[in-house]
This record gives sequence, structure tokens and C-alpha cells, in this order.
Amino acid sequence: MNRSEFMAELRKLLVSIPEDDREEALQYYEDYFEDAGSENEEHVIKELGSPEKVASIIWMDAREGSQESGEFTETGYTDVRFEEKEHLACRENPVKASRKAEKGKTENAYSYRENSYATEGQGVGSGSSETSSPQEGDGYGQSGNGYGQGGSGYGQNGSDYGQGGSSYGQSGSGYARGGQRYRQGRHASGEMRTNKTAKVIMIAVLVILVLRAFGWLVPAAFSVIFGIVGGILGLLGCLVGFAFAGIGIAVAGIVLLVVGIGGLVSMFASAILLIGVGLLMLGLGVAFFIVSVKLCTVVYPALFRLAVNLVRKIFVRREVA
Amino acid sequence: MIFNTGAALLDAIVLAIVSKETEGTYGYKITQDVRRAMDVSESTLYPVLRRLQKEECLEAYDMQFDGRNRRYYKVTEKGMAQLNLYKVEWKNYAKKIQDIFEGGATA
Repeated sequence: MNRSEFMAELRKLLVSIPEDDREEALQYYEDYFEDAGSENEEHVIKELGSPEKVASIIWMDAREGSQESGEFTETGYTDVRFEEKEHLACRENPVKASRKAEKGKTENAYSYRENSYATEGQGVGSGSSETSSPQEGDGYGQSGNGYGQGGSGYGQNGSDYGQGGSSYGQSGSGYARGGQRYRQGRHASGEMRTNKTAKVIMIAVLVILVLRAFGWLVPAAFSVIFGIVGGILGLLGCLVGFAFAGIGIAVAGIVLLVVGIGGLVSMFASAILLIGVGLLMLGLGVAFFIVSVKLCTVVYPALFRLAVNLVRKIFVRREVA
Repeated sequence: MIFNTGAALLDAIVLAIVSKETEGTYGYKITQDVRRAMDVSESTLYPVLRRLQKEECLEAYDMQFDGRNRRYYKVTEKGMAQLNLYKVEWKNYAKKIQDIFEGGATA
């Protein structure tokens, strides 16, 4: 991937954010490439990672501010939301190495982590140091939802963001206190982060996939919905048709019967014929009516049950997986 | 670096770096300067700059450079106040840690 491909991809991925924000971000990265010089182009692309990653950072930032999005570790600034598992694995290595070097001294070391300096008492994972990991996980999940919403979520957050900013100014010297947290042992926090990271990566990947698939997803969804609605209407039409046909034929049969009985004296032979045909049609009509009733009471419920079972099977399988 | 650091310190470092340039400075240079102190990924600086801009600690403007527009960043008055606050906080924090390390404090 070269610079122009990278930028084109990034532009595509940012379609859902307001134009001003998009143009500014694109301008920034154009500048960045320009200032890095063409000889560093490849290096910059490698450093930035994928356009998807850059785009998600811009999104996330737009949504929640990045007050607690990232942290510095021994391998540099990392963002738990985008870290991949392999990276995590690598990240543990230096620790192990340093452990060896310090011969177990680090066992007693406290790993220090600070978050949410700005939004004391409001927002995700803010405030007290009691904030536990699962809650944070929820928070991330929420942010994932926000992405699904796209543009509107973004706008909303713009204002959230502003609030954060102002409370920041007011809270004055208290800014750094809220989220300071000490954790003993790297293993525990590492594990928790892995879970969280996995979740977050899954959400990010889903969002990107959905966004990319958007082109065909909408028509596909529409066709499925219309298909289902059409099927139901068809079945209903079938039912109504049978019922009315039955009634119509029965009525015609009765009419013929009456006419036949009326003409029994004056024109015996044709009257008998009329009566016969009338009786036949009456029988046929009743048969049609019975079919429609059967449809209503037996076939449709069976079909319905079948459909429900099918759906349930799919869900159950998903749960198992 | 062994110690994990939150966004506040990154904000502080960026503000400090930008404040050194009276004429303002630009994204690539800020990134390189920050990277002298810590190994930040190149994609993390943009959100930081943007946030600082939204908080009105930084202002951005375009200037001609090499026949193209380049976006420059400059620290605002609010940004300077914020930076000073950060510096004070950092000093206090560092001192507390120092006291504990040196074994002087028992409080």
C-alpha cells in the first residue's frame, strides 16, 4: 500500500464523520506524509498501521474523547482498544526480560496506571478509583454501539466532549487524582487487558466489516424483509382466495339448485341436470371452504412452527458457538 | 520506559513542546519531538492535538510552506495556564514519589 492508496482508504473509512472533522484529519495526515518526505513514506505507513486503525482512533476520539483511551507502557504509547493479541504477547516479553534481569525484584513492583484525568464524576470509567475492570469493559461495549450509530453518535459526543473540557478547567488541581490506580503484579492486569482488548478488537472489526459491507447490506436486508412480507401476504392471499372461491362456488350451486327445483315441472330433464350441477358445485364449494379452514387451523400453524424452530436452531447454534 | 503513563502527561508533553516554538510547530515535528522522550505511535498524536484544540489549549492555523499549506499549532493563553498547572502537578507528584523512594517520608 502506498501513500495515495492509504489516504484514499482512510477517506473512505471516514465518510461517516462530519465533513469538517474528516477534512481536518485527512489534511493532518497529508501534511504528515509531506513533512516526513517521500523517502520515509513506507516507514510512516508501517508506523501508522492500517487505515482502519487510524480511522478507528479518529472515530473513538470523536466519540468519547481519548482521555482514557491509551497509556504508555514499556514499549511506548499503546491504545488498548486497538492492540492486537500478538502485540500483547510481544508486550509481555520485555517485562519478562526485565524480570529476569532484575531477578524477581519486579515481582514486588507496582504497576502504575492512570486514567480519566479529565472527567471526574462523569463519563465512562471516570471518578473513583473503585472503577473495576468489568465496568470498563461495558464502557467499551457501549462505545462500540455508538459506532454503529455512526454520524449521530458522533455529533452527540462532540458536546459531551466540550463538557469534559470545561469540567476539566474547573476541577483545577484535582485533575490527576480521580483515576490514579495502583495494581499489584503485572499478570492480573495483563490478563484483564487481554479480555478487554479482545472484546474491543472484535467490536472494531465488526464495525469496520459492517461499514465496508454497507454497500450490499442494505439491499440484501431489504430483499430479505420484502421476501418475508411477500411470503406472508401470499399465504394470506391463498387463504382468502380459497375461502372466497368456496363461498362463491357454493352460492352458485345453491342458485342452480333453486332454479332447477323451480323448473322441475316445466322442463324436467334440464331441471334435473341443473340440480345435479348445483349439488356438485355446492359440494365443491364446501370442500374449498373446508380446505381454507384447514389451512387456517393446521397448515399455517405448522408452517409457523417450522419457521420458529428454524430461527431458534440458528440462535441456539450461535449461542453454542 | 517501564512506567505506564496516562493521557494527561502526553497532553502536558505536547503542550510543552509546542510552547517552545513561538512561531508554532506542525504535526510531524511534534510527533518526532515527543518520540524523543517516549515511543509514541505515529497515529496517536493526532487525537491528542485535536483534543487540545477542542479544549482551546492549542490553536491551529495554516501557513504556506514549500508551495503548500501546512497546518501549524500554537499554544493559547488557556493552554499556557494548563501547561503551568501540569508543571506544578508534575513537580508535586515527582516530589512525592521521590520522597518515598528516598525513604524520607513516613506519612
